[in-house]
This record gives sequence, C-alpha cells and structure tokens, in this order.
Amino acid sequence: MTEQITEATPMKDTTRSLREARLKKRHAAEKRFQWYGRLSIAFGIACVLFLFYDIISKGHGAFFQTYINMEIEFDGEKLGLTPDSSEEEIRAASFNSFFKKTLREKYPAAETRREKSQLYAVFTSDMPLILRDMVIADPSIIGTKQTVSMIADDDTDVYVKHALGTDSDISRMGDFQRSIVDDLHQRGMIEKKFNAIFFSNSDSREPELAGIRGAITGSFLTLMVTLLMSFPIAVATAIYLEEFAPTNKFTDFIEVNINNLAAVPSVIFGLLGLAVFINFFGMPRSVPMVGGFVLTLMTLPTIIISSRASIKAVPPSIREAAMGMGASKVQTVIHHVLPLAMPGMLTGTIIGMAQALGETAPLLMIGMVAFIVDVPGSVTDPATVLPVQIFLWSDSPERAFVEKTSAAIMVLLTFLIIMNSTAVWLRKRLERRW
Amino acid sequence: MNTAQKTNPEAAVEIPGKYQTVGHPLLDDPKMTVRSTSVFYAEKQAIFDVDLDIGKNEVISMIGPSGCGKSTFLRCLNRMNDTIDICRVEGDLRLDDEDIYSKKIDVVELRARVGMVFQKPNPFPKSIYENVAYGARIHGLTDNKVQLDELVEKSLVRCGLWNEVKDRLEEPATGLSGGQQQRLCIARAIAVGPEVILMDEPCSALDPIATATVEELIHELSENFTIAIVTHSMQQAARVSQRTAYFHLGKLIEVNETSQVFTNPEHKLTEEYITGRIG
Repeated sequence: MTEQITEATPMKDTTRSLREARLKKRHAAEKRFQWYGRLSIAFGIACVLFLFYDIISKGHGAFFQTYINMEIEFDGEKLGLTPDSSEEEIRAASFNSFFKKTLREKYPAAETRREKSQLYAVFTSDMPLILRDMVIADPSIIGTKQTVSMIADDDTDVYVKHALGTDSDISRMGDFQRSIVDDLHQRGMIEKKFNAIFFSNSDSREPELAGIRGAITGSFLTLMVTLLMSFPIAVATAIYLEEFAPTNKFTDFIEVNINNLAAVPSVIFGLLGLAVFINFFGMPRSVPMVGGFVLTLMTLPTIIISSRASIKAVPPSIREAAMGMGASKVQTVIHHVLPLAMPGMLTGTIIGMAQALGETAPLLMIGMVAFIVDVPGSVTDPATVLPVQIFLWSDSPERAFVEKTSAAIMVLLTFLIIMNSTAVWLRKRLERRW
Repeated sequence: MNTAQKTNPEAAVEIPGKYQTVGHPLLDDPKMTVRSTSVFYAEKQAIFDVDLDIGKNEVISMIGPSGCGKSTFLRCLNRMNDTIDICRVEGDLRLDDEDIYSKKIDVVELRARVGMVFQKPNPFPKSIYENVAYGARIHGLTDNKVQLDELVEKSLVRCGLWNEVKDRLEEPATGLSGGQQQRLCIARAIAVGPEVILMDEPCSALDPIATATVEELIHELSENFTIAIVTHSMQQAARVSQRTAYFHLGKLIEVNETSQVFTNPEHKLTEEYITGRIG
C-alpha cells in the first residue's frame, strides 16, 4: 500500500482516493487503540472497586462490637468481700464462680451442664477478670447493683450481627445459647458499640478481645528502625555514587547490583536476615530491630535508585555556579545539590517505607510471626507487624476473625494510602520551592 | 591534530605540530600567563599549545567559531575543567607568577581569586540576598550580619542591580528577569573579591537591551578587575574588549588590539572569520 503511494502515480485522483482510504483506516486504528486503553483502565478501576467493596463489606462489622448491658449485684457475701477489702483480697476472690452463679440466677432455665456452659459462653471468657478489675478500681461497688456493659463472645457477636431474627445458622452456637441471646435481644439489653477493643488490645485467641494495637506498635517500631537505618545509608550511597565516585568498572558493577537487588524477592532478604543477624550475630528472634534491619536491606535499593535519580535531576548549572564561586565539592553537594534533591529523596523514602510496611514474607523468616499478646515497648521486645497479623488472622478458624482480618486490612490500607499521598503531596509541595 | 591540518591547510604551521600565533599574545606585566598549554578530552586534543598573557585590568575577548576551544581555554584559567573526569590540562598556567596547577594551590582559593560567570544565568534557587552572600559565607569574608549586609549591598550596587532589587532581597532569585539574573551572577562573583573574572558567553541568553546593560557593566568593572570574556558576538568583542584573541580549531591564531583585529587582521583565518566567510 505504501509502495503504491510512494510510486507517485501520475493519476492524481487515484493517489488521493488511496490516501483517503488509508486515512480512514488510520483513524479507525487510532480510535481502536484509545478504546483498548480506556477498557484496560476501566478493568483496573473495576478490580480496585471490587477489592474495596469486598474488604469494606466484610470488615466494617469489626469496628463494632456487641455488648450486653446487664445489671449485676456485687454481693459482698457471694464474693466474700467488703468495700474495705484490700486489693490482694479482691484478687484472691473467686470472680469466676461469682459470675457463673449470677448468670445462673438470672437464667434458672439452664439446668444441665451443657446448658450452663452455653449460658456462660454468651459472654467473653474474660468477663470474670473484667469484673474483678472493676472491683479493684472501685471497691465501693461491693454490695451495690451496677449495670455492666459486658463484652459478648465472638459467636454471640457474629449471631447478633448477621443472623438475629433470621433462620440462617451461621454461628456455632447451641440452641439454648441462641434462645438466651434472642431473649436478651428482646429485652433490649444488646447494644452494638464502637469497637475500642480492636484498637486498644493486642492479639488474642478470643476474637472479641483481639486487637491491632500490638501489631501497629510493632509496625511502627520496625518502620522507625528501617527509616533510621535506610535513609542515611541510602542518601550517603546515592550522593557518593552520583557526585564523588569515579566512573569505572567497579562503580558500574555496584550500580548493576543495586538495580538487581531492587528486583530480588523479599523473602530472600528474610533468609539473609535469618542467617546474618540471628544466626551469626545472635540477635533475638521476633524483634522489631531485626525486622527493621531486614526491611532496611529490602528498601535500600528503592531509596538509592530514587535518590540517585533526584540528584541527577539537579541541573549541572547549579553545581557549576557553586564550584565557580569556590565552593568545595562537599559544600556544593550539601548547600545546593542536596536541598534540591531532597523532595525526590523523601518521596522515594516514603514509597520505600510504604513497601516495607506492607511486607510480610521476610518477617516470617525472622520469626515475627509469633503469637504475641503484649504490646512491644521497645525495639528488642518480641512483636508482630500489621501485615503479619493479617496473615495470622486470615489463618484462624473462628468466623469472627474473618471480619477482623478485613478490618486490619482496611487499617493497613489506610496507612499505605496516607503514606503514598504524603509522598505525592511532598513532591508537589517541595519540588519547585522557588 | 592531523585532521585540523588537513581541513585547514592554510593554518599557520611552521614546524609540524607547532604553529605560530600572530600578533602580540605576550605582554610586559601580565596578570595571568599561559604557556604551551594543551587540553585533552580523553584522547581528543581540544587546545593546541597556546601561549597567551592576560594583562592587568584589561578586558580580553576570545572569539572564534563554535567548538574552537575558547570556552575550554577559559575554563582552564580557574580549573573548572577539573570537574570533568576525562579532561586533562598540560602546560604552564600562572596567576601572578603562581602556578595554578601546582599541588600547592587550593582550587577553592583559586576560584575565589578567579571568579566565573556562565553562559546561562544560573542563580542558586535561593533568595537574592543569599545568592550574593553565599561566596562571603563559604570563604568566611565577613564577621557579622552588618558587614555581610554591606557587602551584599556594595556588590549589588556595583552591578547596578541594587535599586531594582533592594525591596525584595528575600525573594527568590529565579523570579528575576534573565538580564537581572545574569547581573546577579556577576554581583555574586565580585562579592568574593576576585582579581580576574572569567565570562563564558555571558550575554548569549539575553535580549539586546539586557545585553547592553551587561556590556556597560563589564566596561565599568574593567576598572578594577581583569576580565576574560568568551563571546560569539564580534560586535560585543569590539564593544567591550581592549584585546581580542581569535581561536580556530583549538589553536590560538591571532591576538591583537581589538581595533586592529576587526579593522586590519593579520591572519587570513581571522579575516575570513570576521568577514563572515567562516564561523
């Protein structure tokens, strides 16, 4: 076809009609191509929307927890306590039997062992301890009647949220337990409140008591270690390679290796961390410090590459100006190149940190997958991180953990979106300061 | 080198590999002396065996076609070529009889004595004040803020910029017009108190009016400074300089009084260039 055109036939009309026919095809191709693009974008958006819909619809329930408001008489006789009892005496008292007795009195219908245990199981198994803590906090409530907002067990919670008033049988509750919950509901004693426990507690075997505070603290500590280690190392490396290093085979070799490291699967960094930090240096397992070191190794290439790119983007005329004024190389870099490259470096760092925040695999290798109930207080306390917590919960059999998992994913995604938007904002804000 | 000779058989070559600069490249009491200087970019030779003196308080302009090495030559004078890895300078270059390429010379100190103004105005992306104060700060020229303020004002006044910017010293320098930016760069250079100022096509990015202002400034500065200016514009060379050096393919062909170069050039190549037959 093109040959026909270039041959330039003397018949002008033919060439023209040929060209026009061709033109139509070209326009059609252009349209078609645009539609391919639009369709793929639409597909991408649809996937993201589906993901968000799925996570939010599954997870939003976890932000609410079922409570049962019940009047409890802190009978001094039953407890064997008086308002003047010391804390030790209160601790020694059997709140477990007190709690069970109180419940049995409220529901005398529970006769068999089985029914009784179903009655107790309406509430979280920690309820006696919570009552005890109430009394310790305020011994004067002994001998009085108090309305206590009691935490429902996860099965009760799931039943109240999803199956109340329907015939569906999605919880593992027995018939008797269900009748009690229905009764509580009819009497208006069941209340759904914002789930503060989810944010104030750490991991627990009981879904209604499990929270993400420990994981968030662990993630925070790990990221702090990562940031403190990786930012200075990466910036120093980038500056040296861009500004000072001679161009030779060795620096080429380093450059190729840095680029390769950025593509290494993260689990391999985990194995490296296990071999070097834990086995060789004998650091403890499951601690944020080692996790931070491993994630440092992982994020270094990302930050180095983006830092080098932003140093490269500083116009050479600025360097010449400074050098021409008699600034030394170091002064040129610190006074002029670094401030101009900083926004790009920070953006790269935040994106690297976001990557590190979402990383699971390398942390499994160094034992941060352990079940840890305490909130870590320092970088050397055993801890877990948010994505690992999600991984652990997604593996749990209890139905209530399904929504906890989605809720934790929502929290993680929120952090990631905040971090990435900060990166975008920083770049926009600082890119051209003048 | 061979290609240079082949393409220009008429170049003044007396001995193979050696050529004679016509005119008066040498002076009695020079500020800077350049002897037998060659510059190489890796294997490629950019400057061939140049001998030239730059006199005290004179303006010397360097002209020649693109790629003739005049900018490279200029950048040898304050060792800006050091920043290019593959660049190698041979020969003997002196400032007040001190070898500027000797190991004893601190390049930082040298560049304070031999300032530079570049082709494209390149103010730092900082405030106008900071631009002028920067040199004083890094060289520790002032003890306190008052002295620094004075220095900044004096430098800006000398460049005729003070009245234009005195009310917005804290504003970014990049907000100035091109001509103002270039004068700011000159103010920045003279704030350090250099003895020689090198200017690498300082007006090529400016409009004619800004160019006129900068040329006026060069003229005024020549009372106190030695100025070496590279330019593409022969009119500019004629207007601002006392002596003119003509470079051709890395060779210094002719050096003479500016008036003589433009009215009665000695060398055929110079004549061809200024009459527009080459270049």
